[in-house]
Amino acid sequence: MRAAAISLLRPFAGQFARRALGVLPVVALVALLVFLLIHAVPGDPAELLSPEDATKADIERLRVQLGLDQSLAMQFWLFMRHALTGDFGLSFKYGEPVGGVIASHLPATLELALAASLIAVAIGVPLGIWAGSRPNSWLDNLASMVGFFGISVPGFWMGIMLILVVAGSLHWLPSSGRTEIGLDARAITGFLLLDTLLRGDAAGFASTLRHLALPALTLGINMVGIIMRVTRSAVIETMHEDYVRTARATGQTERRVLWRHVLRNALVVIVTVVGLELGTLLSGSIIVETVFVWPGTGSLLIEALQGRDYPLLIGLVMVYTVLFVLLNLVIDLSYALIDPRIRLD
Amino acid sequence: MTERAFPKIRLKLALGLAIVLAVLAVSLAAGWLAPFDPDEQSLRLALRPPIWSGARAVAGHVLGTDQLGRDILSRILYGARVSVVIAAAVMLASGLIGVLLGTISGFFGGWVDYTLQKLVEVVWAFPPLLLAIAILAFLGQGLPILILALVSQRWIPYCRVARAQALSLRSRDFVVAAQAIGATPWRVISRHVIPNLLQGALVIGTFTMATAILSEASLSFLGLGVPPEIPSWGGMLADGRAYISTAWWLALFPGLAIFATVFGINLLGDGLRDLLDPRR
Repeated sequence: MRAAAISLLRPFAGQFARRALGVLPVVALVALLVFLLIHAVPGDPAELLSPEDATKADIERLRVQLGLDQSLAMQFWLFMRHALTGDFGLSFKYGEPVGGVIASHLPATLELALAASLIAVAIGVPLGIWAGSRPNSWLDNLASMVGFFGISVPGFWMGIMLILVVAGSLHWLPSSGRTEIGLDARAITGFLLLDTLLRGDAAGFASTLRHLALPALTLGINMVGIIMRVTRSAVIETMHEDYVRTARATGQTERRVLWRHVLRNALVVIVTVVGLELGTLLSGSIIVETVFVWPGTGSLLIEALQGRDYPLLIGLVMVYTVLFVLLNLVIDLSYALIDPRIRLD
Repeated sequence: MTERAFPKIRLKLALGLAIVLAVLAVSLAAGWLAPFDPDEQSLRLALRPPIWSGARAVAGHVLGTDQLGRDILSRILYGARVSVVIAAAVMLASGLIGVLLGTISGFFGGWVDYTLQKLVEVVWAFPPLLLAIAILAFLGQGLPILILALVSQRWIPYCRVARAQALSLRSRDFVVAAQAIGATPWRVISRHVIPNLLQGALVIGTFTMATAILSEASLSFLGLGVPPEIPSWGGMLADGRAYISTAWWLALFPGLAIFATVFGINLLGDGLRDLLDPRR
């Protein structure tokens, strides 16, 4: 089995390596763009980038930390070296290296984003198949309405309304935080669902799940709409392909045609969209985390913005972007695995 | 397009257009329609519910008042202005920049194309909204920078479509013929390439408007959007969140306004796409 998988992957290894190396210049150029943005700040960047209550010594320290006392060429070299090695200096607020602060907040955001995409796929894909296999039926119309709602509703507003109704009036689910205060929250992996499972802590697991429900649904709602619509049109398009007609002609049941022939071929499109939307989830989580007081990188970003914690802010922008770039890389690779006709270069 | 699908497309187009025109009309006529000055404060009348719910409601304030006693309905009507201005400005600027750069990229090829495509690749490498947040964080706030921030990534879809179109047109007979009789590249682009792009740009344009309105609301909610003294739907939502347990109407109505507007634009865009793309 394993050998088969490896031999299946071999033709892609070269392509994959080339594609992976192609990520480096993009990340370097992203760092350059961020560098230019910082230097487009009118006036003395060190002073403008300092917190309002910064002393003269703080400003000078920041000037040195950002390398603003050096020549522009030298500054650029230093910034790139730091950015590419993940060294963004000390956070003003936490007084710790930015990398560590971000790393401790990242699992919460990833857990939320993964849960949201799981919900979105679980609702969006079946709904899309359902609608696409019976175009223009009342089921299709109903599913299309759900899709339209999904792409049009401001997710964070729906979150606020969920807090109002589900958490506020009905008291079914909690409206903020990741778990109950007082429960064991020591991090093993930082993914609370996994941590509570590893500890065999059933109450903690249940509490984490209950806390995750509303933010994940809120974050996933736009993605439900998009996935539903894309799945629907992919299914409709595939239904018209010759091989589907051939499959029907061989006397296979409609169910088998749908699952075996239509869905498999619609999968490339669905995977693409799920992958792309995961990136949207990353930035969507910034707002959803604010609404639900979720202690992830999104809340951290807003904190950094409000506290003018620029080392942290620069670090977060870079981390988010690198994550997004890597995500796109993984999607590209998965295309080639799903559909061997696709070549990565 | 099947016979059965056609009335559905017309319904989408009609409903979408009606909603979009209604929002446009409201934004133009906010001064006449609004029962109160949207900035008029009255702490005595703060946080009053809509008129149909309860004894604390005050006559005249149909949708209630906010934490400063300002009339919610009037602020929503005036708030439409921000959304309309943002949607129109972002769509026009993105379309102009994207179509121009994409056409140049595809038509000229070579190092011009390479450089522009590198730019596209880098700008597209940022997760959606993050580049906008970074621009607003570093360059400061205000309406022009907000529009710049929203345009920063939205020109790319236009650029891609325009580039592909320009590439395929470059070798078509009528373009080659135009060049052969001595037409300048600019003339070829403006007479032959750009008119062929308009249909695609129209559909992208409606979706650009929808996402621009949603993004503006998100950014205003985070305190990065329009200045707080200008009534905007996102800003109202941000106020409303703080009072969610005591005054639900603060957050409900501006959110409904955003939803209805974006819903209308999406319907219109979907209808246009179905109409213009006969393969669907």
